[in-house]
Amino acid sequence: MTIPLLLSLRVAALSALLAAIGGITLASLLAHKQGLFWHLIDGIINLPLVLPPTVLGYYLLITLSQRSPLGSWLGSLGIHLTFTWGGAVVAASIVALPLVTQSARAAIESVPSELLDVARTLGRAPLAIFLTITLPLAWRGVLAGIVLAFARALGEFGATLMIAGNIPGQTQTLPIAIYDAVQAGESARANQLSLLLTSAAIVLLVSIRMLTNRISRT
Amino acid sequence: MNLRLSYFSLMICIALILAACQPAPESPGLTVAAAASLNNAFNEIGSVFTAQTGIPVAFSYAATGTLAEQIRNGAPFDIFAAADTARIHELAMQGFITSESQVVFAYGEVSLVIDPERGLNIQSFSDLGHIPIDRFTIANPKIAPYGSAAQAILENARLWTQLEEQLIFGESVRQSLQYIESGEIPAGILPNSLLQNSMLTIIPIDDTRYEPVAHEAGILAASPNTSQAERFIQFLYSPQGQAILAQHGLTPISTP
Repeated sequence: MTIPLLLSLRVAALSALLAAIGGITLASLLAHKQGLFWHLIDGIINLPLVLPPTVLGYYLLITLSQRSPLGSWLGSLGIHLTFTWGGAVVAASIVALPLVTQSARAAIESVPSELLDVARTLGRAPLAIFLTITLPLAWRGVLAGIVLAFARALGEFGATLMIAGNIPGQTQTLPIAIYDAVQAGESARANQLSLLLTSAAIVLLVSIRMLTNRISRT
Repeated sequence: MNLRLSYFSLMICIALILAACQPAPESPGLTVAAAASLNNAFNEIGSVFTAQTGIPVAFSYAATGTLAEQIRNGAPFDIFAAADTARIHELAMQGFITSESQVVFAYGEVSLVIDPERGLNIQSFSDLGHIPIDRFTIANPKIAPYGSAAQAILENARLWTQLEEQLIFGESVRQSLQYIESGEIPAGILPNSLLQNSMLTIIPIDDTRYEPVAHEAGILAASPNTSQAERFIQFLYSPQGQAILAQHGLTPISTP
């Protein structure tokens, strides 16, 4: 029971970190942008929210498989992303990315533009403005997005099963261990693991609520 | 307030980084891709093998066709224990499995399985066509050899067209069994190797109706643990291994 839990925590944490880096970068690029081109970019980032996990898993499998150019190139560098825990991280990061991006974008867009204008007229560089003014003011929304990304990554199942398989100790995360226990008729194990995952999800969702509630109050 | 919240966010960041920095999961022993029908038998084989050799074994159970496709996509298994021979041969031809390692280690038979709580009046396989059944489960014949064996049995008995509308395919034989055990589906055709401790009603199917399913294993060409993998395969067809397989309802290979 602890092995799938530890693996899940590891995969979800790494995915949340990767999604945080990617999502904050994308959110800062997308904030206040209008027009078809930016809508298209926004749409592509949000695709994992609406695509069936099987489609996402299939795309990942054909792009990262040893038979694909990218997969064989990564393989020559010693990086194997199919049927390894690394593959689970890739799947969970992609699924979690739009959650950070959306949440961070809304938070960044809510920062008063006068403050940024003042900083600009005082000669601050754009990156410095972003790091010292925008992020400190938007951090609640950004952090809520990261926690949501972590929770989503913890629960990722469909694409992970396709890209990483069901190998105990290596790619068998909590959701996949539950699937395996149900298939094997081990209902006690399935109950325990499901309860564990549900409790973790509740804790995470409550902490997101606490973070976002304070946004609306301030 | 700000102080408490910054502690909170600091805690989240530290927790994330700590969780991300755990040592990478590694496989200390063998990883065996095994047909779902072998679930119970191989769990016991694995614990006896580990007790004797000190080599840990992890099993990844799924339908034979699912596992074969995972191997083609680079899944890092050491051994593939299939519920057929065709897929092993195909993988060997494609270079994924070493050709000298292939060995048939058991045969499997199937039974008609009935949920006793449904009160279906089925005493023998031939009653199947005369009793109305609302749903019937077999494993997906496209990916599960026991599913295609079940399909052949139903076709030969001229029941396939009659039951086709009622058929629910399991992703593997384990899932089909789970459908019946949970009371969702009243009947199905499943391998005997999953039925040894079952509370379900088990009706034998005459072996003139189908070819028993051959279980063949092979070592993956990419396996870094070839000598350990060879020991596992030797254990499979050792008298002790064969006895465990027989206890779980599989037919041992005739030992010379």
